Amino acid sequence: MKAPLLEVRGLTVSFRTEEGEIVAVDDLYFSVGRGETLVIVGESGSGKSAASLAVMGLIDAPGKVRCEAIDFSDKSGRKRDLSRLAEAEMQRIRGAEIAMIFQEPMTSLNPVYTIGEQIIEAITFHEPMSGRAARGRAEEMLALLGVPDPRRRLDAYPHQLSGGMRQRAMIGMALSCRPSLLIADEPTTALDVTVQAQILELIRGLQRELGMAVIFITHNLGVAAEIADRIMVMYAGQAVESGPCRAIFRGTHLPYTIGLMRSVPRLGLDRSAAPLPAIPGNMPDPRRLPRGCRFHPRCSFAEPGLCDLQAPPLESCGDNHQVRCLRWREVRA
Amino acid sequence: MSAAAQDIGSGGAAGSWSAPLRRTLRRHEAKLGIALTLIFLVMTVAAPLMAPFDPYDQDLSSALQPPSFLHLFGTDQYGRDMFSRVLHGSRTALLAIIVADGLALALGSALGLIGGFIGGAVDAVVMRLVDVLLAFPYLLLALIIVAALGPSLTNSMIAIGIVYTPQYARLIRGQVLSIRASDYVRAARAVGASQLRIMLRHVLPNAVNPVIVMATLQAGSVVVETAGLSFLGLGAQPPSPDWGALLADGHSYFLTAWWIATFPGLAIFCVVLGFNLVGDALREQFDPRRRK
Repeated sequence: MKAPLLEVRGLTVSFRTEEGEIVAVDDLYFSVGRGETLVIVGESGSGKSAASLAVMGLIDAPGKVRCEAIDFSDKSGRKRDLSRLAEAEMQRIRGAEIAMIFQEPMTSLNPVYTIGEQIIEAITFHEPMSGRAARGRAEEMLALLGVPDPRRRLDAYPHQLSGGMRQRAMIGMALSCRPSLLIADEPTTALDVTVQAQILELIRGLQRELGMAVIFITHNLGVAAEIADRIMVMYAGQAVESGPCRAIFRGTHLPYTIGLMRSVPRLGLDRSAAPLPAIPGNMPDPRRLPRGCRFHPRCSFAEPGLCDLQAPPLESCGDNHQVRCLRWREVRA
Repeated sequence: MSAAAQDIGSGGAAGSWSAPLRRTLRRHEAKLGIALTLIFLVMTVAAPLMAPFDPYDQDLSSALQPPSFLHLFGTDQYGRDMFSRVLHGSRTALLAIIVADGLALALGSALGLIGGFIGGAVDAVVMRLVDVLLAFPYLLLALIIVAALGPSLTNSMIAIGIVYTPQYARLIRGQVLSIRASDYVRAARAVGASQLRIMLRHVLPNAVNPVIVMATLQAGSVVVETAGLSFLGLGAQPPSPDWGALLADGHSYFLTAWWIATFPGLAIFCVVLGFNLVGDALREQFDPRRRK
């Protein structure tokens, strides 16, 4: 296997609060290859956003990031540990090498500047360029994103655009410097279903065109199945399953993933036969994690005397496929 | 039209005679405020052209004359034309607004930005300092500062500037705290913006609207406070035609020559009213719930 674009080793993100330390991400390992799409799936509070913000170096006090290394090979092929870079160095990476888009297109654009000004600002941070050239690049970007009449849209303020257009503008801002890695934190969650599909298709098209890798964060398994090369499932701050998209959807060995898959509503499902199966209970409070496996209080496969005592390690259960379950050999979807 | 009809429907229920008057005032208060403020600004610019007499010219033979066509606002105990003095006094008032309100705005914005953006210990120190300043009654604090610096118009303006600084600092800090946690600031950081750039280009422009409103409202207060200090003899010194000093001059003659104190008082009243009405109108304009 060739060297990955991004390799995160032993990432821990914690927040100090008045009631003690909350560990949002616990000893996380993952990597993304060039041009690859990694989908991180998890419920709210599983630590997926905190992990991606940590990669960007955007965790602010009182948050604390510890890790072995966040190795990233930049455009010149140099391998750099993002967790050890100074803020000024990190600013050169953000936007130019790694870009990020967020869940809320409604509020992620500054209301006092036009779309054009914001895209141009992002371009000129990283590339010395005349205002006119930058404007040309911004217009190209919007055209690439399928924005009708891009020249006029550049002069529009965010409040004049629809949610889908704003998300496109956000993506335009993020991709204007052709980063090699895009982190998309639930970019379609706040959008209409039809617009969601357009934005997904768009991200996939751009990925092919620009050859960039994508880390896509979502709680929607349908979206994951659609675009993932590999999937990492997170639960209570830990990676609980990771593997190729096909392997996971063909036959996962993890009770949690099975629960997630069963709770996705499908067309043609007979409502009168049985209610949509849901995973009982809630994500545990990070200050009071259960002993043993963190999922065992909600797990239908849990074995008393085993799962509630012993914390499971991440074990290999197939080609490139790992699960965190003591009973994975007995678990079948 | 329909809004007006609704107004009548709800306001008329009280059946009070003052309701129609209040409604008219409310509808036109912005215009009234703008008119008063404009008149004030024209006065400051055109005072030398409009004034029929030199404001410093004494003419003891025509002392203490009541208002007439020759002396619209009458004359004071030295025979100086009050109309000319009130006109020229507007310039001191404007100067006070520019210097004192400007100083408070600049100092307060700097403190609020620094505190809100850096946070931590710096924020704690800055804000405790602000709390200490806020704990004093305004005029008392201004008196203490003028007493320390020595009475003069400049010093009284500096004192009032310092007195009004904490309010700006608090307002701006609050704005900065909410804006720096916003999604668009995070998005700007994600494309590589530096902290300084975020502070000046993304946070500051989004924080200004309430500051403009506050500056307008404070302009009226500044006029009152500088006049107050002058009235107490700590601001503008005689024979300067500052409105506060004019009030002080006139108050001992109030029973025999009411016009000396009345017209400067009315001038202060109109300017403060004007700025307050404009400030209220701006606040309504900037209200995000009314934005389209």
